[in-house]
Amino acid sequence: MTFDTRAHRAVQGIHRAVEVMEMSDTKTPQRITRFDQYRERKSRNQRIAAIAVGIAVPVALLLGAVRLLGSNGETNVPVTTPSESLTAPLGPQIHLFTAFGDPSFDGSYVIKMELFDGYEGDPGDVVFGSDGGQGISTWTVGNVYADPCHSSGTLLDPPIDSSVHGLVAGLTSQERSHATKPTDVEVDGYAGKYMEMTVPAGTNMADCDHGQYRIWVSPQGGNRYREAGQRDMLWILNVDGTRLVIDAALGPKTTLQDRRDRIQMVESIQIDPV
Amino acid sequence: MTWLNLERGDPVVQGGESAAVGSLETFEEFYAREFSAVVALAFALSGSRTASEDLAQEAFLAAHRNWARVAEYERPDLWVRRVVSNMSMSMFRRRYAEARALARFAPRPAATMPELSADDAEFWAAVRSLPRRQAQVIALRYLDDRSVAEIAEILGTATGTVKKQLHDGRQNVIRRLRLEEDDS
Repeated sequence: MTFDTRAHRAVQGIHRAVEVMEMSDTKTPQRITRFDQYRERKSRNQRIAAIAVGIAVPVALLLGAVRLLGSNGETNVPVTTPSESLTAPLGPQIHLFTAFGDPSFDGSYVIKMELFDGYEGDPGDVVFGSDGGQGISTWTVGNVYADPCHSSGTLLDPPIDSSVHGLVAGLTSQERSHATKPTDVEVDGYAGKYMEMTVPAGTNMADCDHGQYRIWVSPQGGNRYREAGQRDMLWILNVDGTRLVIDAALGPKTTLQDRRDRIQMVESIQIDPV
Repeated sequence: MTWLNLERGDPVVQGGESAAVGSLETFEEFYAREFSAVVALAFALSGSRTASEDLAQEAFLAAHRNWARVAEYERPDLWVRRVVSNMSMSMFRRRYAEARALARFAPRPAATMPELSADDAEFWAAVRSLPRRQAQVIALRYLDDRSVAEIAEILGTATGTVKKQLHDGRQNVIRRLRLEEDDS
């Protein structure tokens, strides 16, 4: 088959997919309505994010001040006048995570993390570094693919159980990926396992199903996929019986300092019941 | 009344090829005409069924914010393609949009965008694995049916460069998918 023939078919495939998408959207038949909804949703999310940050930062500052009082005693706490406190730096930036839309977790806990310089992300979303999109995210994992490259039909059956051990066992037995030996870890008082996983550098995503190297799937059906050569530091925690994964990704451009920063940021995480 | 509504009624001169030169066009008309093609481009270049609509909406949002200026461009249709093709090829943007989409939609958000056939998915995955500019050129040429001159304008480069990227991109895909050589 020639390039032009193959390209023509593939173009038709994309157009068909878009057509089906538009036809299936019966609730919003008018395109401009959908744009308005998107714009309004984004505006609303930005307002909610601003409110969330407005609440989280003072709370974090208050908690920090209380801890400082507890550890150092009142005499060591710098006293500021109201006018000084208005002009003083607000302290560390706080990022709020969600477990990627898992209502059972997000409705019960708030995940807060100190955000270092050079990192960004909207509240509730992934935190990105400046090294090519790698960053930190939090997940509740539903199941694991046996073969991340040829993922179609390879979700484990029966699925992994809901324990930390269940996910560790699923990931360490995953084909192709290199996994380090899991070690005990604790984040904000929640115990679990720490391990690292690496995608073989020579992996050609074009050879993989969907063009993606898929590691796991969330309970809502969202896939976690990785790039060739990517290394992920995983903290798999038991949060009051719910398994939470903190995933800090490292790519080819990630420096040793980036790695240290990410570990420190993860160690700053606080997981608080709502 | 919101600022959007205030701007919405303002007619603008639209000089793009797909509309009569000198005709009056509002943002709604522009959006309605271009949306399908832009979301298709986002899908091809991002490979993400969940993020492609968000990427397209983000591109139109950028156009909307700057509509008074964008509408005066000779080809706003090319401008919005430049925005979406850059966003879709940016790992940051793609993951960011996908993360947002995954967080927002539950259960599985892919319900509205069907999966491509294995052959089609393989072709576009091969395109996305190309160097950024080659992938953009291939998508704009074949999916969006753009001329070399238009692609050069979209990507802000010379026509000679586009021709070379088109040739190299084709050859790379031919090698990767073990296709036959074309006469053209």
